[in-house]
Amino acid sequence: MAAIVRTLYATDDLLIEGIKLDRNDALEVLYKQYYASVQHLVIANNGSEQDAKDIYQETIIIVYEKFRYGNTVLSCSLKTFIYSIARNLWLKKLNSVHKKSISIDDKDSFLDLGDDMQQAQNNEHLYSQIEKAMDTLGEPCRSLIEDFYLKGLNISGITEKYAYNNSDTAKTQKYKCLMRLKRMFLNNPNEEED
Amino acid sequence: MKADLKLNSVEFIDWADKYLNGELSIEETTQFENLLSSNNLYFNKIEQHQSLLDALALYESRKQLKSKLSSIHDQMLQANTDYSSTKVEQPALLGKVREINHLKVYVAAASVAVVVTLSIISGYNYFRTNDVNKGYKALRRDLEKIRKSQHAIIKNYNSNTNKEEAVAERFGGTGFVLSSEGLVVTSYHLIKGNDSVFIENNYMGRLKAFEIYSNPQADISILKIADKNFKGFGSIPYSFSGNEKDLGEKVFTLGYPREDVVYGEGAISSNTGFDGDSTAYQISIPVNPGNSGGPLVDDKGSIIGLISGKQTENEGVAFAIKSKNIIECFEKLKNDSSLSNIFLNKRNNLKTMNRVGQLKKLQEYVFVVKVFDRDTN
Repeated sequence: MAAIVRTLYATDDLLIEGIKLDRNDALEVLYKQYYASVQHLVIANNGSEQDAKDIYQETIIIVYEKFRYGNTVLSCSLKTFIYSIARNLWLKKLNSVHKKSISIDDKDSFLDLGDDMQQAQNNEHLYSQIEKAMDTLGEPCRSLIEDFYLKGLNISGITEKYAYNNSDTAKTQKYKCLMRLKRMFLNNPNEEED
Repeated sequence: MKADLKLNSVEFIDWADKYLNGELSIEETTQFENLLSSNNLYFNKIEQHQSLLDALALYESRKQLKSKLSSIHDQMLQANTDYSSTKVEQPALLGKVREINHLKVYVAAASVAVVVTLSIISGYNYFRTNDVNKGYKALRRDLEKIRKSQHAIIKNYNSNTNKEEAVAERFGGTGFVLSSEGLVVTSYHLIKGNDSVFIENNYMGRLKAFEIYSNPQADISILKIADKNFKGFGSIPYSFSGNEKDLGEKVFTLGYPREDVVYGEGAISSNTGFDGDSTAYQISIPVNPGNSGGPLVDDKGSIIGLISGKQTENEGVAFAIKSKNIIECFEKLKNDSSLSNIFLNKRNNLKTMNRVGQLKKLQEYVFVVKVFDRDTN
């Protein structure tokens, strides 16, 4: 099957189409296809195997979200695009560790990514905010929010699962949990509930 | 004026969730949108709510993605396969692959995806989350429209037309069931270039669908329903006629030029369509933009065409693609895909019914097709 799948996604366009359609097999092909080049980049520039993995996964997340939810049109090959993002991320990491400007020894070509990285940074910020909010939300709120908003359980399902007296109680609890999450998300514990 | 909707904070969020999920009835939707338009406070509230839900969707999507990437990574290390070195395929093969049309890719990818979904337990949540994410994103555009209309209403207090437009733009066109396995046929021009398609009627509710086959020349697209709760349409009451119909034959259609299903009747007025196009009929049914993609049905209740458009200069001149073309598209899809086990219904159960009975039955199989533009952020 692996060979068939790889043939199916043999060009950048086909692979991107697969990502847009959220195919797991496309993600797998994408991941495996370009790992070696990023691994080389990181390890050749003072990084470990673990660094390479971290940077690469961060890169793939950016690429995935770009194609899946954005309207990105590539102006270069997918390989160059991925390499450029990884390079940008690794350079930032090196600079923050060494507190000075570092240059990278490039084997592959890369391009300058202005807005792309800005967007990725915004998403990263949003994600870390919501992750922190969810992690500190506490139970049963966290599960309730996940069940209702992410797993699609309806109010009667919530009423039953959390043994509330009736659906009005469930709606009120859902509301309270949501407001709690919102406060944590906005990092503003003083905001009124109503 | 109708009584205004009054909601406390808890109720507001409850309604907002239903609104964003498309679970409100049409009247409720109008009521709620009136409320949103009435006061900036409500508008900001729902926008904040939406931002939070967007963040939640991102959270879930990333969490799932991260766990997938980790397992792909582990698998890659285990297999110790260096893909970059095996990547080079025979050039001849690559050239061939480039020629694969989109249909094959979609279908092959779809059949592979089934296997993958079965093998990944978390697949269920994953796919759903992304649907949620997209639905919310798409609806944001509608909110923008309402905001615009809100300003318009404030400026022009007595005029209600702007808001009606904002609501109407969510309705794309019409589609109808092609086979019980979840295939729906509609006009290609309705769905081209869009990435999120929903079909909806009173019997089945709202279902997510994706484009599985398109023939731009014929202006026909076939959608497949991608909703996990969808169990099939059961037996279909109508059949598809492969024969040409005669001039003057009485025909009718059901469609969604507005929120409610609308019936229109007339006759075949020419055996060729616009500019002598032999693949279409000219019909004398008054149609409006939302009628595109609707079925053209003969007196006996068999499908003889698909409403495609009308002439802009002349009122009462409309066109429908002959059903022969639908059948051809269906056969092409069947041959080129893994869906070899699908058949067009041959039995027409509408034959002996009167028009009212036919319409009652047919309504269950005709959908409004809602298309959302690709988000451009």
